[in-house]
Order: sequence, then structure tokens, then C-alpha cells
Amino acid sequence: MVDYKLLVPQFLLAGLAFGLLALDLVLPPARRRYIAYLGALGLVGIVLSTISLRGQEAALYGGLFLIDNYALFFQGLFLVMGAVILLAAEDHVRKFLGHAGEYYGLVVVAVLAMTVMTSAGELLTAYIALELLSFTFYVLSAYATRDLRSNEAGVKYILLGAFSSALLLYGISLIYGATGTTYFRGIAGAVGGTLSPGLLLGLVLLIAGFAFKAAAVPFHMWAPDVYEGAPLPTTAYLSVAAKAAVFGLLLRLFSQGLLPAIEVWRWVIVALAAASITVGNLVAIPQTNIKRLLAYSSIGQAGYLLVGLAALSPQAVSGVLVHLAGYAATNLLAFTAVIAYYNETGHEQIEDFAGAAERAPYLALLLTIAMFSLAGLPFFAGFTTKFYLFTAAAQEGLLWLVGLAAAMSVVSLYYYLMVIKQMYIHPSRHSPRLRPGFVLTGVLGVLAFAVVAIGVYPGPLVRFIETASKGLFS
Amino acid sequence: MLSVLVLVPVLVAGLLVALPSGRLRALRSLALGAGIVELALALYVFLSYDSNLGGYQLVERYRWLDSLGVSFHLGVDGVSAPLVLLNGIVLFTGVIISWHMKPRPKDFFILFFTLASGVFGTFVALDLFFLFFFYELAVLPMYLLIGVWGSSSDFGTFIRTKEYGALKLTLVLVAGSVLVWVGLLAMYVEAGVGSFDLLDLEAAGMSVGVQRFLFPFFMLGFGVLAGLWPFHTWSPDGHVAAPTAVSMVHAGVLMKLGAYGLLRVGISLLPEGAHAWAPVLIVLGTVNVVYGAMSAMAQKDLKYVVGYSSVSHMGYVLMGLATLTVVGMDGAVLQMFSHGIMTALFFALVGIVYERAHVRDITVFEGLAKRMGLTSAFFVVAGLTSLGLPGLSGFVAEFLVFVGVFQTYPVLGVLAIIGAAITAVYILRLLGKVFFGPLNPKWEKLPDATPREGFAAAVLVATIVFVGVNPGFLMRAIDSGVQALATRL
Amino acid sequence: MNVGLEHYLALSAVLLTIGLYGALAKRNAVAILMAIEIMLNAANVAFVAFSRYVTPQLLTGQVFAMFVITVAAAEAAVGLALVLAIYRSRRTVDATQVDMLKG
Repeated sequence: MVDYKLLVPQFLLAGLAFGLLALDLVLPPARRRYIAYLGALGLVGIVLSTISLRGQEAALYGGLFLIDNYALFFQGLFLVMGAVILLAAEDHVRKFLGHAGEYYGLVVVAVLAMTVMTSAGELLTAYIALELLSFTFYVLSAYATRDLRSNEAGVKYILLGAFSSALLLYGISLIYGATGTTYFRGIAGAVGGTLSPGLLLGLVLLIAGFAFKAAAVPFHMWAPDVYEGAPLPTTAYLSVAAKAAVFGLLLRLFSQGLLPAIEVWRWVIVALAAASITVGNLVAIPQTNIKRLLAYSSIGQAGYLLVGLAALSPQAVSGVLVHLAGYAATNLLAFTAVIAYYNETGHEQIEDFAGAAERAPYLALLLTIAMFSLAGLPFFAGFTTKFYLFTAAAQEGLLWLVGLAAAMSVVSLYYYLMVIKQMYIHPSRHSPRLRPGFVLTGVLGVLAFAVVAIGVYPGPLVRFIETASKGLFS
Repeated sequence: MLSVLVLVPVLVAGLLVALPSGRLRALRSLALGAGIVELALALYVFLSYDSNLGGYQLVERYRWLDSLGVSFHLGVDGVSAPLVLLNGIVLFTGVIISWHMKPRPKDFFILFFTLASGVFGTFVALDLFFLFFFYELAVLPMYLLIGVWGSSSDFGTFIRTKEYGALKLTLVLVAGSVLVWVGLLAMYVEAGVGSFDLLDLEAAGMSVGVQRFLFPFFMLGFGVLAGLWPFHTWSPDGHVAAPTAVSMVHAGVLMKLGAYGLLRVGISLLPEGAHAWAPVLIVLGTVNVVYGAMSAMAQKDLKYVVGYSSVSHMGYVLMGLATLTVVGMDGAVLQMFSHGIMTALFFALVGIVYERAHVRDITVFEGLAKRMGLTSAFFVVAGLTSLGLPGLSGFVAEFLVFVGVFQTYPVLGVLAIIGAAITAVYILRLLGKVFFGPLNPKWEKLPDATPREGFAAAVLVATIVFVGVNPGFLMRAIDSGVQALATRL
Repeated sequence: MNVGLEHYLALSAVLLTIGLYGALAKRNAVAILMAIEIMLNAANVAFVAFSRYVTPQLLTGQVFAMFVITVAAAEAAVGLALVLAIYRSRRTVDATQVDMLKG
């Protein structure tokens, strides 16, 4: 018997998504902004129902769908991200995009897909949820129908995305053939210390498919183009949410299904991590477009997260989750500040940020905070979460990889400083002061508070995450 | 008490963010108030440290992240108490010197107090996570402080821009901190006590092999910040480009963070490693002394002279630490204090001259003493401290270092004395050229230091003389701290 | 001759190779989408074969195949819509000529 109370958040999400789509038909264009506010309100409301479920442990539909603290942590994270994106996107959508209701509806559908991904206890469920997520992002990327770059981003994304999905699916079929099951727990029972060739090939294809979705080197080539071409709110969403969802799924799959064979696959993940960290950070240096810069920096961040996946101890999983939370707050802060700047100026080249400290002092300050946090400097989330993650990885014998990651964070500091240099040192080429809207300012304030709070007082968050990741290994 | 000392600057920075940027009076009152409060707190911390009792005092501990073994653990011992006082003095005078800071004074003070918090925090943290946290916090504002408010130097054939200086300083220091970070993580894993607490790690101990492997991480990582040759070039470039108050704090106090970290983390937690690597460290320290002094002699820019003399004087600190004797380390810690005050004074005075003349080229200055009597008098005191005149703070410190070095590596002691002799040459030459002799008519109109600037410089001069005449004031505390440390060696 | 699991897997591998080749070598966006459909069907053949031979009592693989067919249809719909959008504005579906974004 399925306890439907546990699925209330998913039902509400589906209802909300369709509700927003329907509102688009009813409301006159001048009122469509309320769709975003209503959607954000709805998502925050659903967070409450997620919170009410905490501590529950259940396997629904015979283990297809798992509810535990781990799933609920991600659910909360995705809901909050979705609300932030809706509020941050509203101004941008009104000014530059059409079909507001559909945009907001798709954002909510993506939240639904991500909550299912991190609750999945079985490969078919995970695959369907991943595809649902990908489809929404294909459409969201191509949303600026009159912008050729956005069209191009959508086509590139779907061609490469579908290709990687096909590889992933073939990998799943081989794993199914070798183990006779698609349940994570069942796979763990069937794999031992060594793997049969079929299983090994399946695993390699599976990792490649997921690495593509997470934009890890060498499967990252789509990311800079899609990030640059897609509308800004989509890029923001893609860079944090899609990554978090893929890692949420991967951590569960690897810890519940593939832990017995860790010695076999660890080096693959280590290689992906080392390549992502190195390439992402080095190639970010010559970028001139802020979206592309953040795209490469997010490839580097995926590398840091992979370090935690390679370590895969309960503490390393906590490290990945903590870092994901900090990274989400930080990157959303960076992107929201860029959105606010773009809405007023229409520019997104790094050199267009010259003199931002004079034109928009608070925006410049917040973007600086985000950059320092991404570079891992203290007082901000990036420092604390990276320290936690790397400590956990060092304990599993990956100190050299941690050393590489730490060294590359110096490189990352260089290109983040180049943005800060434009804002604070270079004189402005345009004079008028910028005044971002009330809602955007509020969102920025909340995100900056989160970045500082995680940086200086992570205790409560970390404690909850630790119960969540311990549950994964029991 | 210590948490207040560390958190007040952060709170002030936060308040400043919220302050509308036009409110100059409110801004200055807040900054000055914070400077006075911090000086008073630092003085209180130093005076309440009981040398007879020894150990860590004024200890505070709050839970922070249990699973990682991190707690917000603060305390001072005989080594850190004088350095806290040093920072209090330099911070206070720095605020006074930056009274008319332009442009965007608000942003300047936000960053300046962030820096101050980082420095205080590093000195009083007893948990390595927080030591590292504050250490990086002190580096964070440097790029903007130098890049926005600094000055470029024209060498005729090429220009060293402030952006270059800022970038070099920031990246080199962060690169150094990465070594420290990796070292810390390795130590955490090897000690196996699941704690970043300094006292826990002290108690745990590590095998000799591990200590020997890890010591270079800290020697180089912290050494970079202390200006260790050949990783010192960020220091002159960065300090010359920086605005006056930032040079004061950075050269005066921040470089000491490196030496302090080396002592607190490197030597105290890895004594076997320190014994193995001390010969390397002392040779590099000697190179610092001699090479720094010779470079200072070759400079034409007044600020570069001071910058390279810092490299040279930090060499004494490194040498003193590397002797691993009580006398040598006593001298090293006292030299940290003495050099901090002296360099702050130097940079303050150079700033005063530069603000009026808009050049720093030694060759164009002549006989400034006739127009800038007060400034010149203070400059002479700073110069004499630098060359180690008895009765001023530098003498006691360098003397102790020399005793320590002669006990352990006599040959290098001779070289160090040669370095001191070179220092005497360039300092006296500089004083003679710039301040004495006939006045160049070009500088006929140069006004002397204002009472405000004079007061800041006088505070520093008074400290130098007081410590020079009465070294026991600091030495009792320092010796109690170093004695405790030496028992571990 | 008995048709066994290996034969189905061989068929699946051949289909996958054809799809891979098409996806990597073709320049026409529609052709690439078709090649990807072939890859998905390669996976379907494998699923059904495994379902029959590895877990004859369970229908997991067959259910999987049903879902994949649905997903593939949706994928084709979204993909063709996007290609159509770009064709309207650019008058080409050649993937190598769609290169405003460097990289």
C-alpha cells in the first residue's frame, strides 16, 4: 500500500506547474508577472510540506521511489532554487522573452523532475526523471525565440544531450543484463570486487552519460555554448539545479548500488575530477563573456564535487551536499546580480562591468562577494564548504587530488579578480546609476545572507546533511 | 574578550556597508572609534597576560562543527600577546593616517577593517581551521585595497602598475596559503585525532617521517607571507603599490603572520621536521638579510628602499626562528614586534612625503629637514632603529638573534652582521641625501606633517623608544611563550 | 540454428554502432536526431533480450523498452521543434553552419 502523504510535494508541484500554465491563458499580459510571484509563493509553500516529512523513511512502489532525509534535503534545495529562479527571472522574462506563464511552468516542472531524480531507487525511474529534466532545459535554453544564439543553444543542447542519453541508456541496459535488476540495492548485491566485461562497459557508458549531464571534462563541450546562448535565468538555473540533481542521483546510485566495486570505478571518477578541475579553471582565464566565464568556472566546480564522489565516504557525501548548497547560493547570487545588471544595461561582456562600483555599488559588492565565495575565500560559503569537502576527501586518501584542486582555486581566483577589477578599478564608460527592481534587490539580499550564513555558521545545515548522508549508507 | 577583539572590526565593516556613502563625518568617527576600541582591547589583552602563569590565557571556546573537529577556540600565549598589541597600535595609527582617504572612503574602511579582523584572528586562533580562515581573510581585501587606492611606480623604461602589484601580492599569498592548506589537511589525517584543534594536535604528535615530509609545506607556505627568499618579490612590489595605511598594516603586521604561523604551526607542531629543515631555513633567512639589504641599497624609489629593507629585516626573524634556541626565537619574536612598528613608521613617513611632493625618487630630494623638521626627525628615529642603534627596539631584537645564530651557525652569524652593516650604509646614505645637506629650492614650499600625522608617527616613535629602553616589558611575555614552546623541541 | 541472447546482443551492438556513426558523422541536424533514435532502439533491443533471457519471470526490461519508446517520441518532438525554429531564422539545418557560439 502506497502512503500518498509522502508524495504530497510531488503532487503539489505537478498541480502548481499546470496551474501556472493555465494562468498564462487567463491573465492579461500586464498582469503576467504575478504568475512568477504566485509560483514562488507556491514553491515556498511546498517547502513546508517537505519539512513536515523530515525524518520519514519509506520505500514506495516496492522501492522505486525512496523518501528519506537525503531526498528531502534535495527536495528543499530544489524548491528554494526554483523559487529564487522564478523571482530572479521575472524582470528578465518580461523584458526579453515571451510566453511568461510557460516559462515559469517549465521551471516548476524541472523542480518536479529533480525531486524525482534524487528520490529514485531504481534506474528506470531515474532515467525518466532525468529525461524530463533535460527536456525542460532544452526548451528553456531555446526560449528566446527571436535570438539566434538562443536557438542555436537549444539545438546544440538537444543534439548532444540526446546523444549522451542514448549512451546512458545503453549503459543501463548492459548493467541490467549483467545483474538482472535495475534496483540500486539489487545491483549492489550482484556486483562484487571485480566486474564482468559487460558490467564494466555498462558502467563506463553510465558514467560517461552522467558526466555529460554534469558537464565534467571531457564531456563538457556543450556547456559553454549552451550557457552563453541560453537566456540568463535559464543559464543560472542550469548551472546550479541541473548539476545538483545529477550529483544527487549519482551519489545515491554509487553509494547504494556500486559501493562494493569502488576500487574498480574510483580511478575513472578521479580522472574526470582532475580533468574538470584543470581544464575548467584554465580555460576560464581567456573568456570575455561573463556567462562563458561562469560556465567554465562551473565546470571546475563540477570537478570539486567529483572529488567528493570519488571519496564516497559518509563524510565525503556530506561534503558534496554541503558544497552543493553553498555553491547553489553563491552561483545564484552571481547570476542574479548579472541578470540585474543585464536587465538595466543589456550588456554581458566582462568589460561592460567597468565602473559598476560607481553605477551600482551594492550590485558590485554582491557580485564581488559571489566571486570571492566561488574562489573559496573565507567569510563566505565557498571557503567553509570547500574545506569540509576537501577534508573528507583527504581522509579517504585523495590528498594529491585535493592538492590539485586547491592549487587550481588559485587560478580561479585570478579570473574572478579580473571581473572585480573591471567593477572597481576601471572607470565607467557610461554614467547613469542603475536601480534594480525591488524584487531583484530582495532576492539578492536573501542570497547574500545565505552565502555569509553558510560561510560563518554552517552548523545546523551540516548537522542535517550528516543525518541525511548517513542514512544513505545504512 | 578575544572574540570581541576579533569581531569588532567585522561588525564595523558591516555597519559601514549599511552607511550611506555621503556621510563622511559619521564614517570617520566610526573608524576612529573602532581604532581606539581595538587599541584599548589589544592593550588590555597584552597587559592581562600573566607571564608567570604562561600557557594559553583568555581562552574562549565555542562549538562550531563537531563532526570535523572544529571549534571557535581562541587564546593568547606569550608569543601572540605582543603581536596582538602590535596590530592594535598599527591599526590605530593606520586609521589616523588614512583620515582623508579618497576616493570612496567608505569602501576603503570596509576592506581595511576586514583586513584588521583577519590579522587579529590569526594571532589568537587556537584552532587551525580558524587560523587558516583568518589568514585568508587577511589576504582577501588586499587586491582591492592596492588596486583601487594604490599608486603605480614609473621606472622610466617601464611602469609597475598598482594592478600588477595587487595581483602579484594576492596570487602569491594565496598560492602560499594553498601549501598551508594541503599541509593542514595532511596533518589532520596523519594525526588521526579527528580535530583541527592546536592543543589536540600538539598532544597527538606525528611520526618523524611525516613531520619531515610536512614541514616544507609550512616553511614555504607561511614563509611566502614572511617574505622568504626567493618568494619575496611580491612584498616590495605590493607594498610600494599599496596606499600608506595598507603598507603599514601589511608590511608591519601581515608579514608577521607568516613568521607567526611558521612558529605556531610549523615549529611547534612539527618539531622533528623543524630540526631537519632548520639548516635550509637559516640559510634562506641569511640570504634574505644580505640580499634584501643589497637590493635596498640599489633602489632609487624611497618606498622600494623601505620595501626591500622589510625583506632584509624579516630575514632576521626567519634566522632567529631557525636557530630553534630560546634566545634566537626570543629575538625573532621581539624583532617581529620591533620591525612591525618601525616599518609602519617608515611607510607612514614616506606616505607623508609622497603626498606632498608627489614623487618618491631619492635623487630629486635634498635637505628636506629644513622644511619638514618633524617628519625628518621621525625618519631619523626609524632609520636608526633599522640599523640597530642601542636604546631603540631594533637593537635588543637583533642582538638576541645574533647570539642565537652564533651559538648554532657562527658562519652565518658573520654574514648576518655584514647584512646589518649594509643596512647601516644605505640608511645613513638615504638620511644624508634626502633630509640633510642644502635644500633643493624645488622643495621650498613643502609643508611639514600636520598635527594629525605627527600624532600617529609620534605614537609609533614612542613605542620604539619605550621598548628600546625597557625591553623587559615585552620580553617577559615573549620569553614565557618561547620557553613553553622550546620544551617541545 | 538456435537464436540466442548473443544474436540479439549482436543486433543491438550493430544498431548502436550505426547510430553512433550517424550521430558523429552526419552534419544534418535531422539526420543526427534520427541516428540518436537508432541508438535508443539499440538499447531497446538489448532490454527486451535481457528481459527474456536473464529475468524471464520479470518484465522489467520490457517495461523499460516501453518507456524508452515514449521518451524517444518526446525527444523527437522537442528536437524537431527546435530544429524547425532554427531553420526558420537561419534557412539551414547543417550543424556545422550553426556556429554563432564559438567553442
